[in-house]
This record gives sequence, structure tokens and C-alpha cells, in this order.
Amino acid sequence: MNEQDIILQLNTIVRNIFDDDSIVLTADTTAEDIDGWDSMKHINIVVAAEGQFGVRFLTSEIELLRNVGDFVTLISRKIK
Amino acid sequence: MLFNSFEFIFGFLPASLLIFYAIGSLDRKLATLWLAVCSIFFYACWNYRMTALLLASVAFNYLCAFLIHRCSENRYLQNAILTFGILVDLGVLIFYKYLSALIFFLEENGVVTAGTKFEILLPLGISFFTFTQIGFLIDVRQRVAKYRGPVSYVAFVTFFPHLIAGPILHNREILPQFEDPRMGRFSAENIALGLSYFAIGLMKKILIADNLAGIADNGFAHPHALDLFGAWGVTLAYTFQLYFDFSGYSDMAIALARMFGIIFPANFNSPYKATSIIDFWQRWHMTLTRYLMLYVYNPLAIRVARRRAARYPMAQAGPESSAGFTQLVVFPTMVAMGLAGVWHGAGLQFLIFGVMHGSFLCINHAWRIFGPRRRKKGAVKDVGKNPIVIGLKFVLTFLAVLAGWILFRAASLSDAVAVINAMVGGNGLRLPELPQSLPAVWRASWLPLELAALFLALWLLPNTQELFAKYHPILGKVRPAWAVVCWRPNWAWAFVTIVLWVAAIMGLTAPTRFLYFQF
Repeated sequence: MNEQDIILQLNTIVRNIFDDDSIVLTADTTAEDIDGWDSMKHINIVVAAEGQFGVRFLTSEIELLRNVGDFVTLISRKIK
Repeated sequence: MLFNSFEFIFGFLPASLLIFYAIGSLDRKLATLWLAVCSIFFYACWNYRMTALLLASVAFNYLCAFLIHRCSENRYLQNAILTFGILVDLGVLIFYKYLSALIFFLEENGVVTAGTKFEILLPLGISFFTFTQIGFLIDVRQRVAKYRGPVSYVAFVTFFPHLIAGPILHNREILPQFEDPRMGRFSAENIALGLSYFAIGLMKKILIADNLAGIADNGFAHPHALDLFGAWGVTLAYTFQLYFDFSGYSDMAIALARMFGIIFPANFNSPYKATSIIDFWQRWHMTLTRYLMLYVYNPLAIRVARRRAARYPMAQAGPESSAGFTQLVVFPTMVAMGLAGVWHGAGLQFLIFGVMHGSFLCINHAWRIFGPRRRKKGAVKDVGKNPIVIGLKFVLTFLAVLAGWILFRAASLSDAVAVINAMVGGNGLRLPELPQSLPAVWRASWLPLELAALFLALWLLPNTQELFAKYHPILGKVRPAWAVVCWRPNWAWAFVTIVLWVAAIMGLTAPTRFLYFQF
């Protein structure tokens, strides 16, 4: 799975959680760019991603993420 | 030795800075060692016996971190050491901070009779250095903190600008700075920025907070004697005193660290401009909020979220149902805020303070999830930009914050109720009984005018980091203030700095403690 695939799958998750099909994630997207992406939504997204990619994140790893690109890098490192 | 004392400003600070840069030009590691030595001396000036406790705590936690690091193949052993370390840290904290209150409470209610008077001196900064170190242990266990040499670690925990009352530092943002090759190298910009920044903090503390202290102290000492205006005046005075005291302290901490070339995180971001209670906690004592999110809220919420994700399809696992909301939002929020309350002290009012703010936060989250949808797909949200809506949100948030501060400041729960009763007119407009000290302070002062001016200043003026935004005053991004007032190392700002220093020093008759030293 390359990074582009990961972004696409994340995009589906995020659209589902926000119930908004107009969301388009890029590597530079941050939580501030999406209305309502607060700490609680963040946890939902992370847990949904755990299920989707079959990985587990540490709470401290999640805290280090600055944008979607960081998240993708973390996921691709975990699934290798 | 307080930041706002002559010994500190004219003795300790210049001496430690001079030697720091003298050593720093030779060797970076020696400069870090010097910081640790200065910081321990700084603590010892308060109480040399308690310094032994500080050093023991640092040594114990360093040993735990070392063992966790060494046992990296054995997860169970690592967890056992981590648990043991956290339990010992919390045990020490509870012993010093809560035990005497607990025994007093049990005696009051006739459960035990200790006979002898039981008093324990609260070691300064114990809540802060305990929290900092527990965070470090957890991070070493989760392998996000690198195991470090002892000198950097001791300097990180004891570094005097944050030792007594924060900001609560995170190892990830500070330890790399101590190990940066530029550490200990002299920079005129750091000193200039530090001096101006410190002057603003000193001004907040000496010229504003200390002036309001008398009114707040007096009012809360006689809560039953307050009338409607008196109760509002006293509550507002305390609201501003607490902000200027603690944010002044935080400004000074940021300034002092900067003089040594270390950049701290922000602790305040104009909290009284908040337009929701969630917003408020992202602006008030930000490093405590961050700490609780990192080590309490998120680990709890993520466990619950995983359990729900395993049981329900994605669309139902979120907080949009009442069960989901209770488990994902109410539970972690109440635990985190309950802890935030108790962290401030042993009194029942602190617990209620935490629970109250926890409830406010839950209501705020519930509104976001279940309230009227602000934005339908594709539609632009414009309700949020309506000035009347913003005004209402601001007023509601401010009132909620005031209610919290009354609990926070009152000597007991019944005193807090008395103040609130007076604020809603329960004692009428006139003072029912007049203690000697109160009316004189109240009538002779320019209090209403002063409060109104402070209110406007807080609401309209940029905060300290916004003024210095062009020179990277804190970690993270800062929105700069209007270009005209932005700090620059020029003659105008040199003049302002000197005026502030002179005014603050003239007001510095007897240095008063910072409010947050008691926590």
C-alpha cells in the first residue's frame, strides 16, 4: 500500500465520521482546516484508522501528529 | 527567593547569567550543569531541607527511567517499573499535599483522634515537578522520550524558571534544546527580548495583581458582609488578580528561560477573550490542559473508543448517541477535570470546582454534537460570525468562569455560596453589617473604574506573546499584534522597557508570593 492509497482510505474514514462528502484530505491538511475536528473527533478517526489498517497506535504517537501527512507516514511505518 | 524580589533581580539572575555565558563559551555541557546547580541553589534558598526531597525525587525518577530504558525487551517488567514509579511519585505528592487535610477532616468528623497537631510543610512546586517527571516516565515507556544523560535530565526538571509554578514542560520540547549545539552561546537578542518580556510580567504582578489583592482578600474574608455590588466587585477583582498574577508569573518564566536561550511553551492566550468553555481551557493554564489531555483524557477516551469500535459499526461508534456521549465524552472529561480540581488542593471546593468545569465542558460538547447544526453540507456558516451571538457566547463563558473562581478562592464551600448569594442580590444593595476594614477599602478606591479599564484592556489589547510574535517568543505559532506595537529591539521599546522596570521596581516594596505557589 503506498501513501496515496493510505490518504484515500483515510479520506473515506474522515468523510464518514464527519458525514461530509466534500472533504478532501491532502498531506498538508491539519485539524484546523476541517470544521469540528476537535480532540474527540481526532480519537474517533484514529480508532477507525486502527481498524481499517489493522494497526495500533500509542497515545503519545497520536499527539506527535501535525498534519495528515504525519499520520500517513506513521501508518505506513506501522503496516510494514 | 521570588522572581519579584531584589535579591533575585539584582543578585541571583545577573550572576547566574554571567557565569552561564562565560562557561557556555567554553563547553555546552558545563553550561547545562551550571543551570542545574543554579536551579538547585534557587530552590535551597527557600528551604534547604526540602531540597533533599527534590533531589531524591529527581534521582528516583531518573533511576526508574533508566531501568525502563534498560528492560526494553521485557514489556511486563517495564510496566511494573513504570507503575511502581508513578505510585511512589503520587504517594509522596499525597503525603505532602493531602494527608494533613485528610487527617484534619477525619478528626473534625470524629473518625480518629490524633491528639497531637499534625502539620506538614508543603514543598514548593511539588505538584509541578511530580507531574513533569511522571510524564517523562510514561514517555520513556512509550519510547517517545529518548533516555538522556543525567545532567540534561536534572537541568530539565529543576530549571528554575519553571520549577515552582510551571509552565508544565514536556520533555520533548525542552530536552533537545538543552542538547542543542547553540546552548550556552550568547545572543543579545535573547537578553533584550527577555528583559522586555520580564518587565511586562513584573508589571502585571506588581502594578496590577498586587493592587487588586487587598480587595479580593478582604471581600473573601467577609463573604457574608457583601452586598450586590460588593460581591461583583470582589469577584471581578479576584478574577483579574488571578489572571495577572499567574500570567505575569508565566511571562516572567518565559522571559527568564529565554535569557538562557531556552524557549518555553505558552501558558496563557488571552483566556478572558474565550467564547466557549472549551475555548477557555485552551487559553487558560494551557500547559496543564495539555498535560491532562496527554496523560489522562486521551488514554481513557481511546480505550473507550476502541471498545466501542469493536462492538458497533463505525457510524454508531461515535459520540452521537447518548451511550456514546456518556462513554466517550462525559467519562474522560469528568475524570480529567476532577483531577484538575483536586490538583489545586485538598479542599472539597477544589473538587467541586473541577466537577463544575467538567460539567460545563460536557454541556459545551453536547451542544456541539446535539445542538442546532451550524453548517449544513455546502452552506457557509454565518451564525458563528454574528456579533450578537459572539457577544452572548462571551458573556455566558465569562459568567461560568466567574462561578468557578468563586469556588476556587473561597475559604470553604459555604463561603462560596454566600458570595454567589450576594451576587444575585440575596443580601440586597446595601451592606448589612460592616466589618471595619471592608467599607474603607471599598469606598475609597477607584475600583469600579479600575475594573472597567482592566476589562477593556484584556478584551482589546494583544497579549504578551502577540506583542513579541516576530521574535518567536514561545514554542508554536503566534498571531502577531498590530505592526505598530510589535516588539522590536529598538530605542522605543528600550524606553518602554526601562519605564516598566522603573515603575515595577518602585512598586516593589515587599515582594508578595504568587498565587500559584500554593498548588
